[in-house]
Amino acid sequence: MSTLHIISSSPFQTPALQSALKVVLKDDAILLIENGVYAAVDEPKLTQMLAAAHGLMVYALVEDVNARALPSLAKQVIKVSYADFVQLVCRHHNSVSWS
Amino acid sequence: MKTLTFLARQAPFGSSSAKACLDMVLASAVFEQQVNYVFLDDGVWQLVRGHAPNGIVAKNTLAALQALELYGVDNVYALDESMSERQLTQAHLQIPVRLCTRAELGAMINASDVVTAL
Repeated sequence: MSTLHIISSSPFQTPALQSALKVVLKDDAILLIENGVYAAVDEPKLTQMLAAAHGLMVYALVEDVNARALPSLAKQVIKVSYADFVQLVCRHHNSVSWS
Repeated sequence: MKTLTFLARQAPFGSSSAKACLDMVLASAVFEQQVNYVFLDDGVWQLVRGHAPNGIVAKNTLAALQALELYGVDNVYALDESMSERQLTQAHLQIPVRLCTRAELGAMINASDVVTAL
């Protein structure tokens, strides 16, 4: 039993990612989409926040990353396609959208 | 002539704010007003070079940013702390901008006839 947490708003503008990280369990995963992909930027505070969620898989939708031309991504973030997005949703028992 | 200051605060995609702000800036310039165009908070992402929004079916506004000079909009600023918070430098940007501090932005807002933030 696990949950996919989908974050769709910028961590610089809303606390969506923080809220999700408060409730994640060890088999859960984070998927960054839309303006949520700004959380994948290689910036000390953000990487620290993601690293604190030990061992959690963090994915970012590649179309959204490319659209925004993010200068550099944090190491632990894995880029995924729309097809992977569907698979992630199927693989998890539940999914929650944090906007 | 009035001094109009526009504060662009939203990321380039996900809402129409970025586009709306740019349209207002260009329209004001056409009417020969003194325009300050300031990018702050997530608005600084609008300036990042290399946007490729085809994958998310959105329009690229970077070309329009280049038209600012043609329209006589010379006062384009980015808030320095919004840039550094996001690990951005001038080298990441599509157009040259002047960096300003919070205090300078405060003074600019104070000296403006109209301020629009979106």
